Amino acid sequence: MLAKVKSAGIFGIDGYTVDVEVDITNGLPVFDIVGLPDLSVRESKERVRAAIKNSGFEFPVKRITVNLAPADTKKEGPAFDLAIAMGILAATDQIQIDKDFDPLYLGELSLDGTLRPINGVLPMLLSVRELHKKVVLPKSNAMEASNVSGMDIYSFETLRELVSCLKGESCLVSFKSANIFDMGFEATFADDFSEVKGQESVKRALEIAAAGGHNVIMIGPPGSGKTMLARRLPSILPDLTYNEALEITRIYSAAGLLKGGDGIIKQRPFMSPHHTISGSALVGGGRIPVPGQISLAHHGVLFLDELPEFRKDILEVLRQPLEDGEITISRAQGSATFPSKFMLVGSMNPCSCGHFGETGENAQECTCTPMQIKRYLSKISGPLLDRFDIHVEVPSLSFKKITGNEKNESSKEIRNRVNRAREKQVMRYTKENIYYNAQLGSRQIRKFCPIDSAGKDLMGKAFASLKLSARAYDRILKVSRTIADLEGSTNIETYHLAEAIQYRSMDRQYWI
Amino acid sequence: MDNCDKKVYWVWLSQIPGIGAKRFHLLLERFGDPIKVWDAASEELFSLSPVLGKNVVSDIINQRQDKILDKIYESLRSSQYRIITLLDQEYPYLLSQIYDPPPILYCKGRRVQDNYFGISIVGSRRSTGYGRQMAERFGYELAKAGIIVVSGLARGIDAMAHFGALRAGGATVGVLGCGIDRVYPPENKKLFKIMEEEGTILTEYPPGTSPLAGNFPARNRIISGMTNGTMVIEAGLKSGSLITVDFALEQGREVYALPGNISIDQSAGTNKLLKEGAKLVTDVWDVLEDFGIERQKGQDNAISVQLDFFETQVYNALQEGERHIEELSKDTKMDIQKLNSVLTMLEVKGIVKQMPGKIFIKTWDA
Repeated sequence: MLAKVKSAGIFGIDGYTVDVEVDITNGLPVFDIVGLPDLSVRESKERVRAAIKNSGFEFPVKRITVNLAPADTKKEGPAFDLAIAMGILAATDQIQIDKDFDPLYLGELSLDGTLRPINGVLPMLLSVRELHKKVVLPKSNAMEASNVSGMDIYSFETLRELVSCLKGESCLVSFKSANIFDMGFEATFADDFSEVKGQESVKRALEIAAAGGHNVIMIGPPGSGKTMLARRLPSILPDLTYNEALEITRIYSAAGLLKGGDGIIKQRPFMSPHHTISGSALVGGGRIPVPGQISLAHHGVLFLDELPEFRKDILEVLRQPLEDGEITISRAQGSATFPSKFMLVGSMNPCSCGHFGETGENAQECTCTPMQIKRYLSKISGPLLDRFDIHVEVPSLSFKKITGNEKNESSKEIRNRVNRAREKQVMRYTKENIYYNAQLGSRQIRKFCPIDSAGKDLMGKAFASLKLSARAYDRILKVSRTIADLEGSTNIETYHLAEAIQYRSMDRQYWI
Repeated sequence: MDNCDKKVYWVWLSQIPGIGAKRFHLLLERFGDPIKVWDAASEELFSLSPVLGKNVVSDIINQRQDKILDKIYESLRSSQYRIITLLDQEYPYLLSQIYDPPPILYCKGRRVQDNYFGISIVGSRRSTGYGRQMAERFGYELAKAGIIVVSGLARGIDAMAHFGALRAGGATVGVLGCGIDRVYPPENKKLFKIMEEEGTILTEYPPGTSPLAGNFPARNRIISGMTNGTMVIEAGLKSGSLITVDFALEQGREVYALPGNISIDQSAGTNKLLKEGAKLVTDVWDVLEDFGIERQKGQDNAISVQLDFFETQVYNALQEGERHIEELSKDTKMDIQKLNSVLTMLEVKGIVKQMPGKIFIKTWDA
């Protein structure tokens, strides 16, 4: 007897429909799964057998063949357990398959018949929602699935509960989420800028960076608070829109990193990989591609602490995803594309001992030779340094004490200004297919960042007297555009330029 | 025998390995002229073995080959550099007065004027921002007063002293510890180029000589020897600048030192010199008065460029010394964004200088 049910598999962050065909014939009792199953799929034999028996159903002592179609795609993970069990029950006439109710079955089975949550529900459903409107899945995945609009979701605790529903013993009720977000929503953050005393110049630079989506590099001695400041950056980034939240959740779900709760990620992610990270852990990889840190930082912040300590080749692989906002990983199994629109924040010491340029009462003396300082700074290649629009120096501890007029603004106040500046940018770039100032190309800079003759005069003088490198020119224009947006000014005024010039520390030649 | 022919033997003798200034002068005293060394009988040279050393004597004898002379002839005609002997008019007269003047100088750039006053500015390669600024200042002010500024074309203080003198359009001499065809340290490439055109570069080492550590102390005797006095901007307790000072004292020249912060390593050497009796310098007149140049009344402190209200506030806040941007924000009650743009304007106007770590100082001439 033959039975067919539907399930779904995942590759990268894209799902696809899998037909689970179960054939039961007389013969020696054998249980075979074909259709390129990996070990976790093959092991589902044992889970399915035990779950069916322990739920009070009969497991046939016959020859059972399960085919997972399309048969040329490798399948992995325990998500097919439920579909296989339903196929066996249908093939042995223990349940009837209703033509009108042919849902996707997703779920892992426990030996006692309980449905266990699986990874990747959101990306699977997002990919197949045009083809399928009904899905049966474990209760703990229901919230996550409810974010996919236009889907009827039926969630169950156990296999037994599901079967009794299908038999009509209890009624079939689709799951309705209590809170569906259609609009952006406000996130809560554990870290807030109001907790940072002083460091006003860094806070201001981070505000500009958040408003324009600019990548930032922070330079300062150890212990000056670079990491602490970076950690608070997501709290002033513009509010997450529903679509952005969905994109983030999709990646996290596929990577198996979604933790219970609402089933959707409401905060911009903050990823801070250690500097020993490998290339494929950073950008994604693996036999069956999984997202790397840059994709997990999608719509959030990728913080590279101690930037010069990262392997040079690892840093260079960042350049292309930074430009494109996505990364395509090609493997023998096929290629997967993961989004990677993140804000890159780097931190570094000014020299290898870390104390160069430190002043104040308890300053430590730098013991590096000029050559060592030069060598240390040159660990960041020119093209990579080019990706950082804003360079900001984070002074050492002794200065933090002396601040008197600190405003101690909360992240929310800053975020409100950032939101307003972002709105202006989105409006301005409606025809340009970009969203914020950092994305401006050189042609667009000429168009959207015009400066008057006084501004040109200042730029000329600044380049001559401050010995800025030529590549700073466009970056200064972009950053001054954001400064003007923060102020609500349509034109870039000379004092906007003058402020932007201060955020190019690494271009200065005082580092000898 | 024309001058060129005579020079060949000078160069030949000075290039023989093992013959430094001291042995050269010994031979010169004995024979009167290097050509006589070339012509001397081997026996006569061997009789000098106890003084010169056996190896050196055999080197002299082995090097008496015509093809070596031909090579030297060629290099004398080189347009890359010129060779000055102790007998030439161009040879700096102050240098010729020392105990062991280099017999040969390889030289590039402008000719050093015949009668000159010179001050050497030396200091640590590992300098502070203050030190570099002061080196630039004294380089500028001394050159402006017509004093030749001599230094070592090294990193930090040396380079800044040269830059200052060049900015004043004055004469400056860089003395190398390597061959004239080498650029060391490499990051001073640009400075070398300017010095070749607007200043003077010289060395006693033949072309191709590497910048060996052992060359530098000997080079320092030329730096101090070329000048009436040596001024130490910043020096640690073990700095090479103190070697230059020892030479200056040996040569009977003046020693000047700039007082420094007692808690910083880079000032320990200069402060020690001051304790031992070096002349304390707080402005250029302290040096110039030794040349009989009258101290002039300090110029009024008004700055020539126009400053607006905010710029004046920041300028006034910087009167007391270096300030971090957040200190400035507190002092002037301006927020960071305003302050940042005001500071850029002041930087562009040349009134304020930014140091690593967002520290701002008033420039010395503002």
